[in-house]
Amino acid sequence: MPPVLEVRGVWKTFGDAVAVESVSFDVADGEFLFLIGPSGCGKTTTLRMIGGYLEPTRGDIYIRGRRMNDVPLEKRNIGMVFQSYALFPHMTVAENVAFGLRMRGVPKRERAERIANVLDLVELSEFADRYPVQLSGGQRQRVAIARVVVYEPDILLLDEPLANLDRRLRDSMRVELKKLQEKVGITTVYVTHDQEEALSMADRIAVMEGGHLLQLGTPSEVYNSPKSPFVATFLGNTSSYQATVSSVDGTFTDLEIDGGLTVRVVNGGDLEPGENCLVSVRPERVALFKASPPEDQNVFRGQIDFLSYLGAGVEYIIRIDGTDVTIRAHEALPAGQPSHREGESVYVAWEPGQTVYLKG
Amino acid sequence: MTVVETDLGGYQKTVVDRLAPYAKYLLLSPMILLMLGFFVIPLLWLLRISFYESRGASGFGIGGAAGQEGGGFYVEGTWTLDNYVRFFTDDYFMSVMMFTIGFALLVTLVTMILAYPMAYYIYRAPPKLKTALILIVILPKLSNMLVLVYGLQMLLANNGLVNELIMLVGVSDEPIKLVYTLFSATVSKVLLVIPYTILVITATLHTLDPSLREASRGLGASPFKTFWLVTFPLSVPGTLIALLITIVWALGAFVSPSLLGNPETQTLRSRFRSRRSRT
Repeated sequence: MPPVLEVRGVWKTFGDAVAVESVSFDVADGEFLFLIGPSGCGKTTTLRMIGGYLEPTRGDIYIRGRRMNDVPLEKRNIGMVFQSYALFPHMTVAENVAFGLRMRGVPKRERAERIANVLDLVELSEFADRYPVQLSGGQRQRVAIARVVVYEPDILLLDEPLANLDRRLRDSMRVELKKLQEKVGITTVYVTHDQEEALSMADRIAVMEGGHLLQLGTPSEVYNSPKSPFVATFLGNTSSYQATVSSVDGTFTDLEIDGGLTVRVVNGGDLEPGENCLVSVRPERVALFKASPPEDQNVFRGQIDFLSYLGAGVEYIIRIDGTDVTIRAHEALPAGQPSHREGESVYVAWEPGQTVYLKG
Repeated sequence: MTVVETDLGGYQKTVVDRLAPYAKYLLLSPMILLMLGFFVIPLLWLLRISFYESRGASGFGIGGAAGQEGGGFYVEGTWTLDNYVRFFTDDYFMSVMMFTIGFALLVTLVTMILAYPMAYYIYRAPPKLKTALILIVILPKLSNMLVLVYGLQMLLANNGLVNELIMLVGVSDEPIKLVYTLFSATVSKVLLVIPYTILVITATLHTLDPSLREASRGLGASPFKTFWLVTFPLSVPGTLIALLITIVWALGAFVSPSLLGNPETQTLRSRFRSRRSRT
């Protein structure tokens, strides 16, 4: 099946400022794609170009094979959910939901039926006659989604839809939103700067920075095999170091990092002695031992500099003895109590295969 | 209340503590004093005078009660409804009052029809143009009201710029009488009021969340439907305030009808003035 959405070499400039630079990607039917990056990375601009709220300076956007560049936004059949929800304050929930159907000339009887169905879907049937001001943040959010889902748009666009909700509600809405997206089976592009949202809900994630699309892949691909230092550090916690290749030895390669330490990685066959690269390791891959650490791993002795208790886990920052190099280690807490204390001497260890390296 | 005070460790409120919550009313006092001294009290005094018996004299050059120098307008200390009866039964006064109301409605209608589109255009204009347009709207307010009205008088005169243009284009062979008509009176009043109307409507439109318009377009509404179904209904409350301001201003019209109108276009306020000057 051809992709529902094709973005082809799209640029957007505002005067001299380049907001989006040569971005291309496809979104398959029913896929849940995330655009993620820090503020100013061009993710919202990209979303607005797909929706027709902005015209690309260069490049083309196709929806179901049809070029969209000069099509006015009201003719695109796209559903956009705004960060502010943008519910019409002078209309009831039902009237808000009816708006898109009215604009499409759906007859009154069918309209009523579809509104009832969609309000049932988002569990707001009893609120049909309320005005937006009479609803909570989470309810408004669901109305905003119902308002666009009801007319079955080709693509659903979401611009940081959970940003205005408190943490607890955000977590539950995340699950609801993902379930709803699967139930309706609608092709969705979702913009956020929240990596947890992206990792937990996405089919694929597109990481953007400075107007560029850096990497596009499944959540585990971008998390475990980042292709650039930015992707490695933006998604999740990581300890990363500048390094130089010191020796290549069959399956393993030794790298010397700034503090003079040698880190062993699994050689992908693309490293030459003397090359520079960035190595990083996720805190949850690093284990701590009071004594007798495992052999054949990257093992260093250090002291626990800092401990952050996180409830479900604990994060340590360990300074390697004789250097200024620090490394983060994450420990899940099944027993409830951290196994180590601040100031304690420990061994840090991780498997060479868990080290990520990025050339350049 | 007592419980709370006990919880505070038995702290005794001083006089200053007790007065502190009322300190905010000090903020209101300058305006209240001004309004009382120069508006409310004189108005009440005038209301009282309206119930005095008349002495027959026109009374202008108001000098007070009979017997005083320049007096003779009213008899102090009397109570009568005669003045009101005369006002409401006199055809002349009634026609002037009807004209006042009609003129105000006409001015308001013309002002609103001109102001709303202009305000909407300012609202949608890019920032630099917006600033320029707002400046243009309030610039006429820099000149004195009389200067503006006399300027208009010259502009609309039989040998004025407008008539010269009309004859140049060939719409008419001889000058059209524009000045001293209802037309010129209306034009000048509209010009005097419209900056306020435009500013109030513009301000109202700017309080609307711009994403509402985007949402409406995204849901499939054309720009016109977006205006009609979203922007306009949401601007109604502020537009009504603009309407109220315009009507109140137009009701108090005085300079425009008297300087640019004719004897037929006299409002209550301008009528009072000319009666006084006749004497």
